[in-house]
Amino acid sequence: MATLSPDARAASPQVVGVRLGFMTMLGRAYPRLVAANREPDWIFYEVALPLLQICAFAFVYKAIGAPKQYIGLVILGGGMMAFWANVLWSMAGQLHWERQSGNLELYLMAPSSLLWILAGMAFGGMLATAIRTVVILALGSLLFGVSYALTLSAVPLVILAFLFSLIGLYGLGSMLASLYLLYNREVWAIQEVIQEPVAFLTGSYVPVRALGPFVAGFAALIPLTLGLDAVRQLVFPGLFRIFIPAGWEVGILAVLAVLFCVGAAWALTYIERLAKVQGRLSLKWQ
Amino acid sequence: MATPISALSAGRTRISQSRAWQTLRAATWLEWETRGNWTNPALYLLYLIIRPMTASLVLVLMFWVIKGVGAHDGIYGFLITGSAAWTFVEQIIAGIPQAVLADREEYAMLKYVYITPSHFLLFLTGRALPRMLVAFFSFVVTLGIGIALLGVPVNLLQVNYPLFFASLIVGLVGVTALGILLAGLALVLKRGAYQMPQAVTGALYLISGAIFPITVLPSWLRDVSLALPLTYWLELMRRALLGSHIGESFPVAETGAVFGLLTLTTVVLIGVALVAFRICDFQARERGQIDRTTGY
Repeated sequence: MATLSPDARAASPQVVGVRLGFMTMLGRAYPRLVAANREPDWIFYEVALPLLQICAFAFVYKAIGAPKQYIGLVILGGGMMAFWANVLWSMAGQLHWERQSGNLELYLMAPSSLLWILAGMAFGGMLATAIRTVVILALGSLLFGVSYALTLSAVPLVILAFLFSLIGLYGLGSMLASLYLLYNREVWAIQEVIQEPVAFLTGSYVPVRALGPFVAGFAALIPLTLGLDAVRQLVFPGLFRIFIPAGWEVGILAVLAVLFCVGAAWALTYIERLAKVQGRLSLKWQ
Repeated sequence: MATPISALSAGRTRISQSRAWQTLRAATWLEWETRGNWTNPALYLLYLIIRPMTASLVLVLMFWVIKGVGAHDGIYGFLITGSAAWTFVEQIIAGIPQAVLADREEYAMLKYVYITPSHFLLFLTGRALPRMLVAFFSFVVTLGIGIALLGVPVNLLQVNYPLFFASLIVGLVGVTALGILLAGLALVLKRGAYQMPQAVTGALYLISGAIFPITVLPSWLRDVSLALPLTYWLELMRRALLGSHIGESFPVAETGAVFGLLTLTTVVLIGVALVAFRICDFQARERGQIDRTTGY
């Protein structure tokens, strides 16, 4: 088990705290990045499963007689949905799961903040899911012969849109994770209930503008919506009428990313204290 | 005075019937409680319809993006009826293995179910019954909203109700058999037992042509599709609701023949499911996996 070196211990408490935090983050990211890939069955469950869903929607577009780029739109949407699934089940539901399995008390007893643990889960989950998403996008594009019209000048904006939407999304997941400390069995039902509507609201399989201004405006609060729309605008220029120009969307995403991360830190501190007062941190099967 | 053998035999049959009814009733009630008692009934009903409703709305939007807002020609009705009917598959096929895993892993009660005199298969069937009810409710609400608000072309006065209910019953038997088969597999899988039912449901969603005509599938996949009872079941449900013309592109034109194929494939599936479940059940007992926990 990693411990701080004597030199590190001699440093100021702030430096020790940050070093410990980073070590905690890397330690929590490790099982997601390395351990989770030891068993090859992730290829089936985390690549083949989303691909099946993508194929089903791609065949729907084919049956309706849509242009081939719409299948590309589905592939991108399906790829990004892998991040939502990861945020929902491995981020938002994780603290609840840790409580059920008896690990949450150990996390809270550790000298590092729970925020660093969540940051580690997010970092590991993000990178691991990115690998899966790249495989999904590559296989899906190959299967359906979809090509993308991404220009070199658009690459920085695509990267920014992608990064900000992921940071915002994992911030949202962290907020949910802390909120779930107040709930019990209903957590899985809430998770199931919000999984599918988010696929609908974020326009994973249709252009966001098709949702109409009010629904799309509301859905823009979920970072995936604008991130996906911006990336689609840049890789399929002119395919559909845009909701908001990509540059603006990246700006809004940056604001959302900051808001969700700050919100997650505040929510975790507040709800952790509330959960301790109400004695919910070790409550199981209620 | 010696009791006649026939009287003893009749007594045993009565006890057995009574026990079967008790098992079915207890399992049904258990499933209903574990599924729904985390909240109040109104919220639970909302929970039941949100998922199938939004799944159908995604398809509606996809259709409207290409054909124009408000269009409801072509395969529009096909999409929505298939999506609504899929609730049965999601609830039952994924639900029975989930019930077994929850009993074993979360509540650690599976071993106690095994040591009761009740028949385990009957217990699993009982666990499936509330899910059928819940799925029927979701199906009716989703389709009802589709008809009333989204223009799904179903004329309730012209629905072929005998065909609808006959195919629904046979279909549910097949879906339950598949759920039991997967429950057996979940007992012996070392990893991925939780994800396996979702994987199978996902594959069936694609292969059985739940939301698109199977004619758009590659020919080899279409052959696989035609070996599944789900394909015929969904086709018959659609024919009953939308009229026989919806099946014009289906490889089997005659509705009677489709029903015959549904019955035949369902009987084969039941046989396969029972044999596979027995094998898995035996393996699980032999390896001591009935009270194993993998996630705790």
